[in-house]
Amino acid sequence: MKNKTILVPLDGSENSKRALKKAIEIAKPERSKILGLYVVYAPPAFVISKPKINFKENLIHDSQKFLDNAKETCKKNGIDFESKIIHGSDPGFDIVKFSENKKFDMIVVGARGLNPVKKILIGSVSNYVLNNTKIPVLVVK
Amino acid sequence: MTIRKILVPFDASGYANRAFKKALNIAQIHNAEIVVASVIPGKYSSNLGFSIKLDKKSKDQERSFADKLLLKLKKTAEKLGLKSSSVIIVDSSVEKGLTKYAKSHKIDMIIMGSHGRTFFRKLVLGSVAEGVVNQASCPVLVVK
Repeated sequence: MKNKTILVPLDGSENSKRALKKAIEIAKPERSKILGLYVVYAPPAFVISKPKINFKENLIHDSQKFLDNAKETCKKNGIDFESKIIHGSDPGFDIVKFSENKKFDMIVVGARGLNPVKKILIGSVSNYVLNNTKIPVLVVK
Repeated sequence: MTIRKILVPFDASGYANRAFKKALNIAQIHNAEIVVASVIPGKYSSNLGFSIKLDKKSKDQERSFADKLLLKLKKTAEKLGLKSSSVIIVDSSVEKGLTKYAKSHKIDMIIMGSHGRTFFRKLVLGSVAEGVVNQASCPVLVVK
């Protein structure tokens, strides 16, 4: 059996951590690889007002930290972990676009992420991914 | 926590078939038990958007149809050496029936197709799949 790859979009939230745990659990007996994807996006207000603090660098720094943590937890469980940071404006769209070019066997997303405005039911990003991709999606609560 | 019990809602559509295959695959890897479920409406059905009272004959028909389906699935699962069981849930709402069952029977994962047979409400993502994803307390794998 060939090695499979699981895509895990991460955003630093509790739910995405849980998604990673579940992904590890699934990947372990299959010996599949995990690809952690972190979408860095600046809210429109920040893009328009051009703040003087180096906002973007801070975001990238945070994401790198989180991905390093994720890598360590994967290493403990003996799973190959690859990380990727992409820049985008709409996380859902970017995740789907990213998954189109490569062949993933599954996407594991947390049910709710960081977006506080649209978090009433299932998260907006996970909903978008669920609706727009052709790959099986595992929604972790 | 490992995956021990997988719930597979089945409604005899192509998507459900694909979900079942995926479930078999995952169950084999994790050595998990497969629970095949089918939801049939109780006294009242809301399939057409409004509720109608079902007579006993059509109810029996639905039940026997579901029975046959689930038996077939159970056999295919057992051929692969998996533990499996089947259950018929009686609830007027498919989503509620499934999530309730998953909660009370400690299901670790639900694997279901993205679209099913509810014709009128399946516009984008199947309404049932979306409802289950929203309401379930366990991880849900949606197979396309």
